[in-house]
Amino acid sequence: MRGLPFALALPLWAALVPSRALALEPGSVVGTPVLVEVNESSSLYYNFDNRDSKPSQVPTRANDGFGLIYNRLSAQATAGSVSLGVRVDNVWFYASPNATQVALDLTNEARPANAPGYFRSKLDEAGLELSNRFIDWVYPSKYYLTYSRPGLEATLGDASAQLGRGIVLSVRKRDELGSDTTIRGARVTVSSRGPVGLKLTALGGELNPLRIDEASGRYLGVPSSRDSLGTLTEAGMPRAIRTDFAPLNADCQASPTCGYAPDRITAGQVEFSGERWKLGTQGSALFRAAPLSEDLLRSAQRMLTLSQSVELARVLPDLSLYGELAYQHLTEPADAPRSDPGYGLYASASYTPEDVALTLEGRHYRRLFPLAANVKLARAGEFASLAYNQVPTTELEDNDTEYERMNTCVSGARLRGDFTLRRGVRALGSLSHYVTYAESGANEACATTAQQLNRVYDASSGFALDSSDRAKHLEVVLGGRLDRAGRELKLGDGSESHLFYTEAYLRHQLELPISGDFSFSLTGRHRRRAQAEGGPGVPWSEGEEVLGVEWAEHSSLGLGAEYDTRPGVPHRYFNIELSHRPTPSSRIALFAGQRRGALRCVGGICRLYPPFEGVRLDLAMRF
Amino acid sequence: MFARFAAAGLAASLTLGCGSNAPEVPEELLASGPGCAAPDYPADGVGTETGDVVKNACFVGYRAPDRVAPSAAHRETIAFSDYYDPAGTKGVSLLLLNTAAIWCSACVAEHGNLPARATELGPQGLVILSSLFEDGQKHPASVDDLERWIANFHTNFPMVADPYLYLGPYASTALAPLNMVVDPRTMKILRKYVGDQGSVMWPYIESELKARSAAR
Repeated sequence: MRGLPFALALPLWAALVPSRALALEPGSVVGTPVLVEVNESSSLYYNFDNRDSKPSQVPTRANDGFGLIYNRLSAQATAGSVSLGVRVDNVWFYASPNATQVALDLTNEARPANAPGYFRSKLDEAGLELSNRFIDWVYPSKYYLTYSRPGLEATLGDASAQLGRGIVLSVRKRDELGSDTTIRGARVTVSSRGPVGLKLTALGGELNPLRIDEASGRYLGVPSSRDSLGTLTEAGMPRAIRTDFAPLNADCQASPTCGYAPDRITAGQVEFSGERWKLGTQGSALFRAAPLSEDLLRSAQRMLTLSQSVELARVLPDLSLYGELAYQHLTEPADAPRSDPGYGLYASASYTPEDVALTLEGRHYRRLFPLAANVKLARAGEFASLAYNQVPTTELEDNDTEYERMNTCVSGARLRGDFTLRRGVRALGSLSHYVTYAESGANEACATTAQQLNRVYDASSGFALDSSDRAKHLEVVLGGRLDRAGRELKLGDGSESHLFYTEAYLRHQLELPISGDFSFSLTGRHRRRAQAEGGPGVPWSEGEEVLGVEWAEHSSLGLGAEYDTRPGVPHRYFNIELSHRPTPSSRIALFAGQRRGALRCVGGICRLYPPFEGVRLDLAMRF
Repeated sequence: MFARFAAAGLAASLTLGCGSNAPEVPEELLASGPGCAAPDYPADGVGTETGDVVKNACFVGYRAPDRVAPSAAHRETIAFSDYYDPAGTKGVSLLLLNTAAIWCSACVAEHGNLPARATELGPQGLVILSSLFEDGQKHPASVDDLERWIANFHTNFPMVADPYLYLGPYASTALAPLNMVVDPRTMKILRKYVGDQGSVMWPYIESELKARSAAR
């Protein structure tokens, strides 16, 4: 259902209805008090020319000059053990590029010999590009009915879930990547207490990612449902549409605006626990519709992942251990070659005697793949990283230098240390080494040959100083990464090298009180990077500094400066960010300026964001 | 307070959003240009998805860069229609359309292996036609870039420069490489692979070549 009027109505409704009337008014149903909670969150964007346009490129031209209002309205009513909740998302694009104008601009710039042919080609491409971007939608992004009492929790509708450390299943909200995936179906958890606790979890249904990407304005259209379950779970969700440039037929693969064929999953976990231990067995089976992208993962008709985990808390006074052994089997179509099952071992040890915190994390994965969503990459590349599990990387949470499918065929470990030298003075350090066979070329079979080998070394060292009242804080970390390929790599100039990737970086954070409730902060990261195969062809620097002033919990001001010395991209970016909390339950934030394009990663799930130049206003209220 | 913020935001959005009429297209762009004419090339069912006919396009490049040294004197115009083979008389059993860019590490890795594939499967009727579309800075690839690429990778199959991104409509260039397996009898797209998907693409090509050989 497309709804421009509704898009306007929601923020107006939130703004104009007196807040007193919207305040929580507990009533009762059959004698049971009902608590109602309403969250309203709106974002208003306008994207100017983000300076990433290149000659003849339609997508980078189509991401200029668009504006949107994105609304998320959530309501939950709770009566005793029962909760009923719904979240409605709607987007209204009040400004968007015009296909003809995009084609005209590109034609005028390129001045090709065959201008009519070029124009027609760019018009077709722009029309196709815009067929699943900047479309107004309103849809029920999440809804659920939950019954909860000690020892039992049952949900019908949307539920998030993580089993073990996420190898088997991890569907949840990831704000940094703008994703919030749930399972739309049923979930039951039964638990018992005692000397040996038992928890049983079973869930199943269709995977339900957010369908609209705010950064690009792209949406995921689904085909007409193939059966009654699909009809139920996809009711009211954004559909594939027909446009002047994009035909629509019964075959999702042949319909350009059909970007997602909902995957189905069943999963479960049996967990035993004692005072200092936990033993978990978990598994998931992912079932596919016909693949919308022809690759090993999306072509698999079924992906079965099982794991056994052990957690030992304080096995020695200061030592805790965790281990998870996983197995994965892909059922390929009958005409596809068989692939060997995959497996993986993730382990961590945490040693925390007085004044020391040591963490050792290791991984050994062979053909252990992400449960990638059945997304049509050719038409909805922004959703390429959508997956239903998260295989731990053991690296820094925001590490963005694991290339290609490094994490699917890798062995190695990372040791982190945090040493308190004296009160308020800490030394920080980390050291890691990985051997991977899937970074400098596709290697789904995980052949462990010298040709596929990359050796990665990563080290960092720094210190943190804190005043006795913790009001002042300084942290500085220096680090580097060396990634060396086993084979000779061909460089752009024809020479050869083993150095696949190198980086040196500095991170710092300074927090100082100014006076009263005011404080000052300076946070930054600076990197010097070089990539042998692909990339810009020359070493480059990039980084950012953010200078902040905060007024207790009420308001903050941030001034940001970023730089990127890669040839062919703008080198400087400036921005300002203001945030204010008029009341404890409301927040308003304004971002204005420029932000460079970058690959942003969270725990190994990465997404390439285009540069942003414009204004963003966020409003959030809770009633 | 919230109402004031919302009203200001709404006013700003309406101001920014008004007045987006379709522009006028100059007459000369609506005329039929010199084009890439191939009268026999299929005109029905042209599109960008699996099952659609690939639109004909012309490029500058080298048809046999391993036999004729790439240089200004040897540049040729190469079109998809050159490989259209409805009667099976050109000896093309399967056409693989590939894209590459200098900034794309997966393309670099893929092209390390493509010449060997061309040598192995060429005699069975596979023709690889690759297009280089951008340089390291994502600017349009020049024919000079193409010549350096061919020299670096010892390319032994037809390769062209695509500075105008005529293959752009088939998949976002940000996710390069793109590989499309095309039936030369109809020029219909049989399979479309985004990214270096060799583990599923090559078995499909091999089985398809076998099937076509057996059907002959």
